[in-house]
Amino acid sequence: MVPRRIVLACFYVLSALPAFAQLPEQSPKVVDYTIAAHLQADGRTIKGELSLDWKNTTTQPTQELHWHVYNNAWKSRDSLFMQEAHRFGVNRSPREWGGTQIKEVTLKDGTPLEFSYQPQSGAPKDETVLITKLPKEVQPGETVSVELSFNAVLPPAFVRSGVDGDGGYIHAVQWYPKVGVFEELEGMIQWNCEPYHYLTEFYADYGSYTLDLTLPIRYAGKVAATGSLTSEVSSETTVQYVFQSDNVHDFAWTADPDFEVIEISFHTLMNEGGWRDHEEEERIFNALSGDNRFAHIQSVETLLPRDTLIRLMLQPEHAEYSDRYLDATAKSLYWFGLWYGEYPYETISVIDPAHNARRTGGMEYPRLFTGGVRKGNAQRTLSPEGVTVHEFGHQFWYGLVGNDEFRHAWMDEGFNTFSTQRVKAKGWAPSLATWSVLGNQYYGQAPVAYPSYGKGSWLSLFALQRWETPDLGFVGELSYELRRNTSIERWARELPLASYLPEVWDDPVLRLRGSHAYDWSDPLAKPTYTLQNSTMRRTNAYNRPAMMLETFSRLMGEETWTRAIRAYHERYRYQHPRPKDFFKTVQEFAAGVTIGDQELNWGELWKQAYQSNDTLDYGVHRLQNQVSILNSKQLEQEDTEEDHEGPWDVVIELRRLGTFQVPVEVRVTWEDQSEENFVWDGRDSWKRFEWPVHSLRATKVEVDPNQRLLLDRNWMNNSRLDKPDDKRALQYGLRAMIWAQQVLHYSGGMG
Amino acid sequence: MSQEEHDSGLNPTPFVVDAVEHNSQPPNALDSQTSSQPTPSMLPTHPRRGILGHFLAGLGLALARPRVLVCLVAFSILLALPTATTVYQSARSGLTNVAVPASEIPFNVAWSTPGWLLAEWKRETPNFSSAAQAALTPSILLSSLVGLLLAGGWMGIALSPRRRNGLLAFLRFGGEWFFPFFRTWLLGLPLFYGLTWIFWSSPFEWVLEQVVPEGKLDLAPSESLARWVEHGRETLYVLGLLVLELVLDLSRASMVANRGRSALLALFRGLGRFAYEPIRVLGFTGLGFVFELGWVVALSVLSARGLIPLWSLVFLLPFGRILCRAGRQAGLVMLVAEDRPLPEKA
Ligand SMILES: [Zn+2]
Repeated sequence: MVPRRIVLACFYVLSALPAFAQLPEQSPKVVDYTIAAHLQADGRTIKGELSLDWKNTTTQPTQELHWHVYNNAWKSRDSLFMQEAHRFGVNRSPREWGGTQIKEVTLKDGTPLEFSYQPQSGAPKDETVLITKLPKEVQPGETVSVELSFNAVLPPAFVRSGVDGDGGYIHAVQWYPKVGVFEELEGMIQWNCEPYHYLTEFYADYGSYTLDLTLPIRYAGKVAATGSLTSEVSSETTVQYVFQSDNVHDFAWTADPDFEVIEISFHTLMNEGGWRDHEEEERIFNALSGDNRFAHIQSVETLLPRDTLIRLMLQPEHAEYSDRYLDATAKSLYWFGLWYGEYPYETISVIDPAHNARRTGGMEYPRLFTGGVRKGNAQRTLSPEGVTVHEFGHQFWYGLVGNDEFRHAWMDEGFNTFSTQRVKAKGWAPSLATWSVLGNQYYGQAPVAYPSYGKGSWLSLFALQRWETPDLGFVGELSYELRRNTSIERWARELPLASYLPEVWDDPVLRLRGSHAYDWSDPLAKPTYTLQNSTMRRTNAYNRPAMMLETFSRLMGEETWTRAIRAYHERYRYQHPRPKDFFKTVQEFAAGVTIGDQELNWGELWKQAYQSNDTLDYGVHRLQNQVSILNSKQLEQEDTEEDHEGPWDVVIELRRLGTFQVPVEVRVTWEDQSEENFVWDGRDSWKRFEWPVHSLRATKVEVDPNQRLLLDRNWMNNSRLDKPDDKRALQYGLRAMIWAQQVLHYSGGMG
Repeated sequence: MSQEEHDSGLNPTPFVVDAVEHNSQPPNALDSQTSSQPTPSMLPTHPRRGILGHFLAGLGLALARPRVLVCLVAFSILLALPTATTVYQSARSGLTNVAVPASEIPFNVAWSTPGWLLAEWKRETPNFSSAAQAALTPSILLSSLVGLLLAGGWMGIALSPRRRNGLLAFLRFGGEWFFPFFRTWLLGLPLFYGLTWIFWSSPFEWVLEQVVPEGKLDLAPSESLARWVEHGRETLYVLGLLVLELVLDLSRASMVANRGRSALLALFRGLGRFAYEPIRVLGFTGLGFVFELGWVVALSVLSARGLIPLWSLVFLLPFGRILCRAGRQAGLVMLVAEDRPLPEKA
């Protein structure tokens, strides 16, 4: 590892270089916060004095300021968050309640301001939105300065924020009152300041933050924050840091006396890692260079992201993962930078949360994110790599492009899931399925899952797992667990070395298709906080939009996509884009793109994929090779069609099984291995294609052979072979046989 | 009463529990006796061997019965067949028509498979899992019960004076001991339940509460501590299971050795025997497992390297494992019967 001083020296020299690109250098400065915060000895109470300059950037005046006080979601069961959770059947609560008390709100000149909490429908006592009345209206273009003092008590780690209780780990997020966004919404200028919902995250305006943070001395050197460190003063009992950042829309900090702090420059890791992909750099450059919308990209070198200091705050018991965390962060900086535009800040802090505060893991804040990992992970589980790439990715999708997460969670989670899977595909060999014994992971996957029956199922006795007797009248219902399905027993029972599929590898992009298993009852366009439940949120915010983006990119081709996605990022960096802004960009860049001779209608695609709930499913219904009638005499002379040399009447039938319509490629492979490709417009519910008196048999028919349509919900029906490959079924059946033999041998000695 | 019981020269001895009295008497004076019989020291006895000796003797006994072994291998195939067939049928309808993109071939689904393909197949065959499991579940219970029959066969043969080779003799012993063994199987159920209750219910929860806040491992001050506790619990539990299985095996062995039919008494004998020399009997069992594991590992490596075809595992794996189990069961009964008078050869 390079000594810290050298890293820092290189880093400051490099960061003094001019930034390239026409990426906006500065965000609009709507907010300017200065917060003095003092962490109390109890390790969870923060006393804060906040001063905010807020600028009205709209065309309408306002006489109110609306604030998020999200830490009040943990004040009691009365909060909207807890009420909504309850409605979804989730009744967990923090081990101890927290909450924020607002002591005083004044103008800078000391004039006291009235303030009250906004009752929410379904939660009249919710205190996560605070409204302060101003003595006079803030006119468009004017700035108002407000001071606010508060006491925030963080809960023991719950949902996204909190402390670990005893070790001193504190993850301060949504810890200060944060002003909402005054903007055009639903046709009028108004405050967009949603309460803390169970299903949604955050949304705020860009600006500057200065945090003057005082902590007990045990935290010296063990603090990370959104900003860059500008001063450090310590006394015998306390340490005082000042962190500052421009161009961010939130500010988080984390501290833990146990942290092992590792600092290294991104360029060092990139240059020593040997994983730079010069071919892809060249490809991206070529895709952009002919287009005057990217005139600022002059050479491959201007594509390369600037240097950034990576600060890893690691739990000592996770020392084995330090290189993997760093590698994943560096690769993310590289790939996101190449594709979308460089990461603009001097630092990125990667936090490995304490074991007993895992609930704070896997979350993103500007310039700081939390990972999370358990001991014993094999390299190709890609953990912690996956979570690191994903949470880093939010620096771009949410941090730099600041969408409204209340309404359009997919615009960060979906774009980010799409990007994460692509970085994983570029950065590492595909992950492998694993099984585990005593928390350690090994590669392989059982061909069949061992039967498991819940309480109340008498079948569990057959599997020798439980003893169940029904209510007999004189004896009540009985349920006794005979054996716990532990990892050691699983191992002894199934002997993975002999009976598992040794290598089940996952293409990270195709893995997204897993969410086809879920019901898509709400369209993507539906506001996130109104979705049916958290499963629907996961589907609609993450994998489904990622598959939509992947489908779009594969339909328009990688070169067009490279331009479109980069333009979207560049144009909306430090902005609050809406879905229509993304769609506009797609329309602009992908206009006129054809699949074969069919021009793609992006308006129609957008409507089907985004605004409604259309199911996309094309399939091959029939593949038939019949001896041509002309030669029927010959057919009679020979035993079977198998021996026949043709000619053939070849018929294929394709089906559209969903309502989604898109031109679909079709490939017919003939027995001499030659291929015939054409495009079906995909309009009719089925379509027949015929080749009468053809000299060759068709051996294979595929729809969408290039796997463009990730949104196609069933790929199993996308092809049909003239002679099904029974060998595969035999191979799998054989594994299942060997597996079942081991399981049954084991039960032969049971009891 | 079967012919073998007449042959054996051993009378059932319901009143003397093997191990309980072992503590107070020299080993060679322990055994079941009736006043009308000569003292054991005057008769030739089952040899006292090391655990390896017993195991090898057991193995030899099984190897000398190739017909039995072949039948048991065939039976293992038969028992697994419903599951394998169900899976095969499902794979035929799901996997065989899929054109895999060029980037993902060559692949062999038994070795290296794109995960999306398996996921898609299982998703589009909604009853895949339930059908395979439904095919397997009854076989699990059946195999456990048939396991008793086989144990009876090997144990019975091991102490049979004539050590007859035939499959019929094997099955006759199995049949003879099946119901007594089944009673021990039933007695085992509350024991397994009790053990599971100790480790996965109130007692261990109490322990957890002493070690970590609210008894929740997620709240442990460190992951390392949580892992130690979690893995300690699992390891102890599995050791407990192993001991229980061993005690049940010892009970059955002592039933055969003593020609006793009382399951409860046999269980006490088994417990006593285990308490008397736990290291030796655990060592004996462990030795059997080591041989078995060696066989599994060797075959797995050979097949992974392509030196033997995958299908050969269908025969070779069960062969070795059945042999090792036979060696353990036959060896165990000889171990339990050691120092007892040898039956007179008819
Ligand atoms: Zn995310």
